[in-house]
Amino acid sequence: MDEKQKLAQFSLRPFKPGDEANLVDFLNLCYPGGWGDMEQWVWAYPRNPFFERDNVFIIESNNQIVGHRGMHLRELIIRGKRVPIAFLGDTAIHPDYRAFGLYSRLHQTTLKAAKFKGACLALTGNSRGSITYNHNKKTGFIEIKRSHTYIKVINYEKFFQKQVSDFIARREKLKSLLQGLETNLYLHFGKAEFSLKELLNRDNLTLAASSKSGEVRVILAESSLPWLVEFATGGKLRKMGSLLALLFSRKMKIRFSSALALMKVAWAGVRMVRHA
Amino acid sequence: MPNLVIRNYKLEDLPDVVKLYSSSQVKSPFFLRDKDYFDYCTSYPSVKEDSIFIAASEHRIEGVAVLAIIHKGYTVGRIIDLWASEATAENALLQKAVEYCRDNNIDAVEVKAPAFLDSSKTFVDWQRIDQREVMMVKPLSFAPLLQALIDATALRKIGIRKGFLFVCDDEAIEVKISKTGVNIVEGGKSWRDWDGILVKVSLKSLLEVVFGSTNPYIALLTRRIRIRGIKNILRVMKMLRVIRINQPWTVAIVDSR
Repeated sequence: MDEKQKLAQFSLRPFKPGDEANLVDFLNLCYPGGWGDMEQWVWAYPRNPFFERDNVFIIESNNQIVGHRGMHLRELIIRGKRVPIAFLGDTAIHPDYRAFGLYSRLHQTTLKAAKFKGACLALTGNSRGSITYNHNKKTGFIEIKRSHTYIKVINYEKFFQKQVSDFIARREKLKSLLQGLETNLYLHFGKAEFSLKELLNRDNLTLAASSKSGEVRVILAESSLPWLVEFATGGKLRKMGSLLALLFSRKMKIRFSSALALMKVAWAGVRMVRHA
Repeated sequence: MPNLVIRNYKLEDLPDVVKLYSSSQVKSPFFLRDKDYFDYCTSYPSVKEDSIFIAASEHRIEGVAVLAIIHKGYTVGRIIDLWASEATAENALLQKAVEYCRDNNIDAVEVKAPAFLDSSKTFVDWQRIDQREVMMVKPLSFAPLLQALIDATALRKIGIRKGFLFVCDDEAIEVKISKTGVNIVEGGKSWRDWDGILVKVSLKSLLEVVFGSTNPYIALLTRRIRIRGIKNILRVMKMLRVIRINQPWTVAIVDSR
């Protein structure tokens, strides 16, 4: 099947009443951490003062939604003057329909529509290094400086547990390695302490028998949070750098009951890096 | 700021909040805020009546903060919008939101840096969490943007009295300066017939210079900007410096949703 035939089986249409539930399900399927619920969707679209039905672009194949992008026409104030812009967001392509050129089609259509409706700038948010980021860079988008997002953690224990749990949940290889780990691995963050077994059990995952294999404790100081954020969000080099920085600044200490236990954890780490 | 009080929002505050939005002194680019925007912002799921804060002094409203409480395995207080007339009010609203979160057993507070606060001082014990997130922009039509950026008086001061011609990706954009202001004509004269100041630049490079991600001098040296006539180089460089926006855009959490 050539590119034209592939694209012919997909139709592009605006939003119509009745799409709501399917759209929310579709967005939740496509966004790894979940997109949100119906209440969130109603707020983001119909309740939005800039909402117009034909500013929601849907790609369908056999009555199934396989692509989506939302566009909000807004006004930007630059030096006291109003500049019409189009904010493009909630871009999603069904995992089974990626690499069919659908994103490119959606992108071209939304840019044309934005220009037609009088927007002089198209704006979008992306993750640096993602497919959409690279595609946007190739098609004339530039990065702009904007205000940063900050977080102040009040309850470190809950926050840290959830971050670790999410970090593991997003990585299948890490999850299976940890499940096969015979050593009890404990994480300490400030005053908070929890075992990885406890964390995985909460996600209904079972661990290998660990009673005889000793334990390893990774103790992190509260001041290590910036490095942990770096570790969680950075690429391979940044991950390695932040890990070394944590060890050498003594913000991360490792305690172990036996050399064998440590070896087992270290070996799991090496396998993880090799497979990555 | 004398007698600055932080209190909960009341319905009768709405006209003053709208007045606060319209009298903004923010220098960086920001999204238009008006009554519809405020209604939309406060209808965000999980924004409660007691989580909208007002900074008031004497008979004026100096700032407003909207806090949404979100549960995602842990509870986070997300300040979806924080808008004030100056830094003191912003800081007071931020402190109030943190205090509210502490009192209500919320595990973390999230905010986008507001317009006036110095992030390097205010967010010392906060963590930046958007290292990989970027905002990207593409020009669709340049005329309205240039209209907003170019100030005729500033251009006259640097010796550009009649105007100039941008040739962006083979499209000519003529900038005419008159006593009444600036007039931008897209697809006007051919650059071959133009005898004034002529600047050849791609739309992308021009946007990079305008939004401060590329230094105009570097763009000139790397031939991404070409200027006709040696005598015009300095004037064009000064002009680009005048139209350049160096401040980061003020974007609230609600804006990027």
